Amino acid sequence: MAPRDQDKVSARLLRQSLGDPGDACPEPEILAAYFERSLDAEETARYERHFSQCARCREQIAAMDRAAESVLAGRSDTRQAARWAWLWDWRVVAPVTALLILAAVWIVRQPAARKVAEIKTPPPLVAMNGPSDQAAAPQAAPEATREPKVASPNTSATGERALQPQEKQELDVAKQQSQAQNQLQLDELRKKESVAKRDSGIANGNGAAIGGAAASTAAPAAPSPAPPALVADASAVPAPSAQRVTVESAVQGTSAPVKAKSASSSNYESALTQQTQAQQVQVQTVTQAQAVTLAAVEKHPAGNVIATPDPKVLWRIVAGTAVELSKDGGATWKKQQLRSFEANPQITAGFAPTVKICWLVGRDGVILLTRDAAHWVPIPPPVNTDFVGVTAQDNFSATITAADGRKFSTEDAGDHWNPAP
Amino acid sequence: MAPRPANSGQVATASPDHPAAFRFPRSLASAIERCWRKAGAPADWNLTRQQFEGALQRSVAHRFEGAQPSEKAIEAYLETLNVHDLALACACSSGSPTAWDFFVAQFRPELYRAARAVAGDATGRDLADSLYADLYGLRESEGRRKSLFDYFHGRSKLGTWLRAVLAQRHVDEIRRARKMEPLEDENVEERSDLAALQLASSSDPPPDPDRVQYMAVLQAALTAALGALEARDRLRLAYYYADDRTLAEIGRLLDEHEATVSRKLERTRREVRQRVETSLREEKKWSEAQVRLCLECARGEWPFGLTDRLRSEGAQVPQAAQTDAASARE
Repeated sequence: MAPRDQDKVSARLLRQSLGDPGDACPEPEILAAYFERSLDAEETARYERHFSQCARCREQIAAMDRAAESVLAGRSDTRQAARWAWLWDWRVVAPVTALLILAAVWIVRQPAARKVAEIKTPPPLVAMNGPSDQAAAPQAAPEATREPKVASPNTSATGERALQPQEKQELDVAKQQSQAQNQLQLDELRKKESVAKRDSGIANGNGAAIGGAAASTAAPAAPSPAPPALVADASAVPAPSAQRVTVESAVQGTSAPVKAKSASSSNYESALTQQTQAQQVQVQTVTQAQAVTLAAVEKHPAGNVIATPDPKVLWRIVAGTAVELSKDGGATWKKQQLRSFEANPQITAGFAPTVKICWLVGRDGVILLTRDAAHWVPIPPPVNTDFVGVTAQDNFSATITAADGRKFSTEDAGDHWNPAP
Repeated sequence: MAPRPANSGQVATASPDHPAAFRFPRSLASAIERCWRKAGAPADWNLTRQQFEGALQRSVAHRFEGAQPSEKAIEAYLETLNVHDLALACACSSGSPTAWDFFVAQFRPELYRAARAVAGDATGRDLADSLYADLYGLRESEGRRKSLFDYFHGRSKLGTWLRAVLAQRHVDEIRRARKMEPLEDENVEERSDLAALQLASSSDPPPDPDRVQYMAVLQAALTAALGALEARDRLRLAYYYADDRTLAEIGRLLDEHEATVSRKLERTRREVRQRVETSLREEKKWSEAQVRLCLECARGEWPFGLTDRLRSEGAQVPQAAQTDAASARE
C-alpha cells in the first residue's frame, strides 16, 4: 500500500480515536475570541480539546481563517488605493492642470525669447566689421570663444555619420525657410524705417547724426541709429541699406558657421537646432545694434552723437559748432580743431563709416571730412545750401541731403557731386 | 435596508440564553463607569447607560455561567471586553438608525468580502444577506424582536464575531447538504481501503487467533494515549491526520511557525508511542514478547505510519522525512 494510502488509513484510525467531543460546540463568540487569541489559558485549553475532537468547529475555524485573510487583503488594497487617492482630488488636479496649461501656453508663445535668453552673450556685432577695425578685436575675441559653445553639439561629435542626401535636402529646405524669414525681418525693418522717416521732422535716415530727443524718441527700429561700423563692408548705400547690410551680414555671419557645422555634423536634428539658434542670434544682432546706439544717445543727451564701428569711439557735435571725440565710450571727450571753420560753423549731421573717417555737414554748404580722426578738411559743396544729413561708405563715397530734400552723392571725396535719387 | 425605527420599549434587557441577568454589585460601579466611558457611544446612537449596563450584565452572566466569580475576576473580565463594539451592537439591537448606519458603513464591505471568501462568489452574497436579516431582527420571539446582536457579548471584535457566525452558518449548511459527518466523504474511501487491505491480506496465512484481541487492546491504548495529550498537541494531530491540513495551514490556525508544527507533531507521535508501550507493559502487564507480537499484528493489519513509527527503534524519525511527507501532501 502506498504511503499516501497508509496515511489515509491512519487518519481514519486517528479520527476514530480523536472523535466524539462529547460536549456542545462553543458559540461563534467563543470561536471568534479563540481566533483572536483573547481567551485565557484555561479556556483555550478547554476549547482546543473540544476542537481536536470536533470536525465542525475545526471547519469553522478554517473558514474564519479564509475570511480573515480576505478581509486583511481587502484592507491592504483599500489602504493602497487610499494612498494615491489624493492624486485624483480636484483640489490637487485643478491647480496642477492649470499650471500645466499655463506652462504649455508660455512655452508655445515664447520659444524664441526663451532660447535667446539662453544665449547669455551678445552676438558678434563688431566681428563683422572686418580686420581693419582693430578696436573691434577685443569684443570679437570673446565672441569667437563663445561661438564653439553654440556649435558644440554638432562639432564636438567626431567620427559621426555623414548627412544622407535626404537629410541634406531637408537641411536645404530649412535653410531656405530661414532665409525667407530673414527677408521678412528685413522688410519689417524697412517698413519701420519708413514710418520713422515720416514721423521725424528731420531726415535722419539720410545720415543725420543721432540727434537728441528726436532720435531718442524714435522707435528702436528707426534707421538713424544704424551704427556706421556695420555699413563698413557695404558700398554707397544709405542708412536704411546700411542697416539692411547689417542684418544680411548678421545672417551670413551666423549662417556660415551653421553651414560648416552642419556639413561636419552627422546629427541632422542638431543642425536644424543650430540653424534656429543662428536665426535667433541674427534677431538679437539687430536688437543689439539698436541698443548700442540708443545707449549712446541716452548717455549723451545733450549733444548729437555719431557712432563708429567701435563702440568705444564716438563723435559728438556740441551745440552745432564744435566736434568732440571720445575713445573710451563717452567717458571722456576731446575737442577737435576745425581749423577751416573757426567762424562757428553750424554742424547739423555727421557720419563715421570707420573709426578714423568721419563726414560732417552743416548750414551754408558746410561739408567736413577727416581721414585720421584728427585733422579736418573742407569739402566743396555741390550747392551752397543747408545740409541736414549725410551717409558715407568710406573717405571717398558719401551722400548728403539738403534741407530741401535734394540729395547729392560723390565717389571722389567731393571733387564731383551728382544728384542722387 | 432601511434603518429600523427605535423602539425603546423592546430593548432586550437579557440575553435569550440568560433571561435572568447578572446584577452588578455596587463595588463595580467604577469599573462599569470606565467601560461606559471607554465605549464612547455617540449621543445620536441614543444608547442609555442602563442599556449598556444591561449588556454588560448579560456578558458577565454568559461568561461565568453557573459560577460565583469574585468581583476582581468580574472587573478583570470587564477590562478585556470590546466595549465599543458591544455598545454598537447594543444600540443596533435597540433600533438606533444612526448606529445601524454606522454599522453598515463600517462592516458591510468587509462582511461581503468575508462571505465570499467563506462560501464562494456564488453563494457568499446570499450568506451575507441572510446574516443581515438576522442582525436587523426580522424574527420575533415572545412578542419581542430578536436580533442576532443580542448574542454578541463583546468577548471579541464585532468583525471577528460576524465572520465566526458566517463560518458557522456556512459549515452547517454544507453539513445539512451532505447529510453526513464528517465533511469529507471518506467512508467510501475507507471502505475501499479496508477492502484493499482485506484483499492484500487474503494471500497471507490465516490470522493469529489472538490477533483480534491484540488489535482491540492496542486501539484502546492508542485512544488513551491520545486522550492524555495536551489539548494543543491533540488539536495539532487532529488537524494533520483527521483534516489532512498542511503544516502551513496548521501553523496559521494555531499561530505557530510551520517548522514548529512539524517539530511538535513529531514529538507528539513519539509521546504517543511511549504511552502506548507503557500502557501495554504496565497496565496490561504484557511481556516484551506479547508487545512485539501485538505490534507485529498492527504492522500487518494497520499499515499506517504511526504504527511503523511506534515499532521503530527509538522512534527517531528524521525530521526531513516528516517534512517531505508534509510537502508531498501539500
